[in-house]
Amino acid sequence: MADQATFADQAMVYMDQLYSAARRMTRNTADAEDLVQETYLRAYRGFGNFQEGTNLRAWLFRILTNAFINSYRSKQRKPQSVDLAGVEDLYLHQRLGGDTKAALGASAEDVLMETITESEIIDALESLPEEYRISVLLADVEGFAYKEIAEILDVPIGTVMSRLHRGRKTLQKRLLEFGKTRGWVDPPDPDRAPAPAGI
Amino acid sequence: MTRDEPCLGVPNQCDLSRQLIAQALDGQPSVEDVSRARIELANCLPCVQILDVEVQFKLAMSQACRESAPASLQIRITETLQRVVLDDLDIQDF
Repeated sequence: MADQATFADQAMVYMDQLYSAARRMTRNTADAEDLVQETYLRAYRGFGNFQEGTNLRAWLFRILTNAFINSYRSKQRKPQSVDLAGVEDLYLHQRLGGDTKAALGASAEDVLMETITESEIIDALESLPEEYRISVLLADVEGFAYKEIAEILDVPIGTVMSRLHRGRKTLQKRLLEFGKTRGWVDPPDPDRAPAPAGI
Repeated sequence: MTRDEPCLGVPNQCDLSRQLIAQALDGQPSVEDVSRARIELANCLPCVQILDVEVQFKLAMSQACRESAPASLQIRITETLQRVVLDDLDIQDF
């Protein structure tokens, strides 16, 4: 059992992380602030049941995620339409080919990643359907392990892996589209045989 | 395929590369984890490229999406916690 008197000391250090996640979940500042405040109030109320010595950060993110799903999801604007078709076969390194890669050398992927702006990465993430967005957010932005994400979302670890795979590939597809506009990526070859089911 | 068997150089069909890349991306990848995976995938250049791109992608995501909470929010929450009366809260769905 945790002592509520120590809640602020232990929990407030995670505010920036919770706020970053809330921004990507809600996609606007005002809702993100409300969501973080609600998360802290819920956490404070439940802190007496928190098991001291377990993962406070993961516990706070679980409360944040549940609060978002229960209170904020319904009023979110619909995301842009995202095409998830074909993402299983997508591999960035295979699409950075031909003259572009020859000109850039082995660091074509580096160039693409450095060329994409932070706002484009954020746009791509926020365009993902919610279940993929939250999984990628927890894994790639917050650095949670697969097992922790499964506990936060209360889903099997296989579901986490599946969502992450499809979410990451969809994001990479969006980044490739940005890359194409800059001429970094070869256009798709219509005669190219489809690749087998992917990683 | 098990981890004792070599990668055959077919990244989309290789269970070993799938497993190693997934392990390297689990949580916050350390230099040691990525280096170990690269060594184990050394026979398969496409697998190494996939690993490198996925790691770069993860790092780029992490850097792009970090934001600091506004100072006003920190103050608001701190003040709210100081004066909150638990019985007045209507909280559910833990």
